[in-house]
Amino acid sequence: MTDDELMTGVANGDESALRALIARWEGPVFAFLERMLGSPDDAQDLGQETFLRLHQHAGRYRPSGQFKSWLFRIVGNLARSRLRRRRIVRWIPFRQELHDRETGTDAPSARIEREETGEWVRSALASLPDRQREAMVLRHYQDMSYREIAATMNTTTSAVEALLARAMSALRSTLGKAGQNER
Amino acid sequence: MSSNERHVDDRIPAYLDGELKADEAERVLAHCRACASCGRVLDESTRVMERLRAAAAPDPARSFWPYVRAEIARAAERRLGPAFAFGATAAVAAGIALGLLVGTVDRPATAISTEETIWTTVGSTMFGDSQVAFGDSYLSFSDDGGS
Repeated sequence: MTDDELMTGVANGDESALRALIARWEGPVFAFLERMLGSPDDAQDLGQETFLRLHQHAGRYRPSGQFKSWLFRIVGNLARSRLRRRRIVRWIPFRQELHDRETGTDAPSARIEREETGEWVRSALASLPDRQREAMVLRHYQDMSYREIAATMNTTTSAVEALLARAMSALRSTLGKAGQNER
Repeated sequence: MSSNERHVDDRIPAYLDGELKADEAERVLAHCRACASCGRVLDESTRVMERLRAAAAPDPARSFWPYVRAEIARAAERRLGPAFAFGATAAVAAGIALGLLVGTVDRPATAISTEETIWTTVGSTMFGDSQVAFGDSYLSFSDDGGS
């Protein structure tokens, strides 16, 4: 079933439709929130809240093949709101141990390399302004086109291109610094 | 590179993302081959993208479903709580009383429609209003463990 069909089911009170949508989208929603917020706990919390809101507003959704943008508009709003609230607390450091559980069987060198890459990604994304980070995460972890990102972030495709260009410029300099540190 | 030609570093992410039209993409690539500065930006941007993609997307520690299901059920309960129970009981009592009253009268044929009207009114009070009270949260949930 398509997302639009499932949303119609949710609007009509079909429990299995809501469950199917959650099963389909909880991974991408969690990944987006974790990259945006840097905290698995906050990502879990807001991910659940996302689907409560989806259920609450299902009646207002108009099936048009734009479900992904509609969903990530909800997620993006929640993430920005959380970031604003915790502005004074600053970035919550990533908790490596939560991500190590699944990597126990790796060869040590592969694990170290993946951890280094993961750490670089987390700190590099954390260094970006919110909107640049959001555009970057939607592009690289949700595989959205510039048009979809524009629809999600309620902006134009040229604004998305500018956001991503600025984000890339910042990440390139981060990569340069990481390279110097490794040497 | 000609000194009049504009650098293309701001277009390189769109080029790498496949968002440029073919002629534009060719122009960016040709410029990067000729311009050391933009060529370096292209290389570094490619490395950044490779790194971003090499980092696996994290998964949630547990499914969202059990929590979402429980919260929706709780919200429905809150909305339908004591007031609903009281209203429903009162409506049933009123319905029974009216039914008995109508039943004791030797009524003409037209009274049937009056009785139907009464029961429809009682029914809509009980069920129609309850649907409004449920609003957009009237999913029925089975108790099947939810994982």
